[in-house]
Amino acid sequence: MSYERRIKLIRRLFRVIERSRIVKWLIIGMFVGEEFYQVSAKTYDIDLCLFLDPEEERLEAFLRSLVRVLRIDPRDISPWSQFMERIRRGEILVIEPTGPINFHIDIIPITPVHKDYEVFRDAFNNRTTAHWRCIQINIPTREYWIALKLVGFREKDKYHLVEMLRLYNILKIRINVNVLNKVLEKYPYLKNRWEIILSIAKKDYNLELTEEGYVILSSSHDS
Amino acid sequence: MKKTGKKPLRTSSKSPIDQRIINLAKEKKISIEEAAKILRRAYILLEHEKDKIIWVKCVS
Repeated sequence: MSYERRIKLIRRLFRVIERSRIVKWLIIGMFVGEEFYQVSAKTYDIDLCLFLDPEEERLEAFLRSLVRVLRIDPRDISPWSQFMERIRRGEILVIEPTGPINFHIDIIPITPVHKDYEVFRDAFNNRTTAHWRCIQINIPTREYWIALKLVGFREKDKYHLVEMLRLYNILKIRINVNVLNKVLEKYPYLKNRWEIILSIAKKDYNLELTEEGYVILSSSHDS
Repeated sequence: MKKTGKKPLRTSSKSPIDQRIINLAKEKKISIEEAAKILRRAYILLEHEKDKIIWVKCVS
């Protein structure tokens, strides 16, 4: 993809968020994994979660500003009331840019009826602030980022998590196991999924996660 | 040297365009813009196969 175009698009998105002064938002997905948590995978989108629980007063102004700045085709958002109604229902807004770029923006409204609302809300409540090219952004902590990957749990999510463990082994990056376990205790289905990831890492790469949170080569070899 | 008016595809590592877009354009014998569009849309379709989405496009 055109790297500069991608940077420009992301910067525009973050500037609109900054200027609109909305509060309940979180950048998730592989953009965060790639940029902040050293996960080795290329991403083709950026995911912005907007919490509508309840909706912020400035939400509509934010979206109006976004469609103006990104020059979204007016036909795609007309009538505006219908567009807003769909956002409020939780439909994902996919923004496709123009030009020679293989990248897009996903805006994910998180409402209390969203099937994984609680995990997303917890991730937001425990968010951390990161800096991306001098712009302050809200992202999940490493442990909540893992939890959100477990929520998705598609084949590619599994692959990303196992690759993350492989890389953490080499880079000696630590996962805060206490925090991760607390999150997973709260959501048993995610705990089961994490165990599956650990078993793949063990089986395929002989890796294990220590109590201290380091990924090491296992001393025992299962045949 | 006579100019042809047609810019060659840039394929060096300094190319501002994703190599995959260039390769797809070559393979399908289409323009870079068209290749970028179909590739981008393929990724959107893959990503949102099961989602309810509002798909909007930028005009420039």
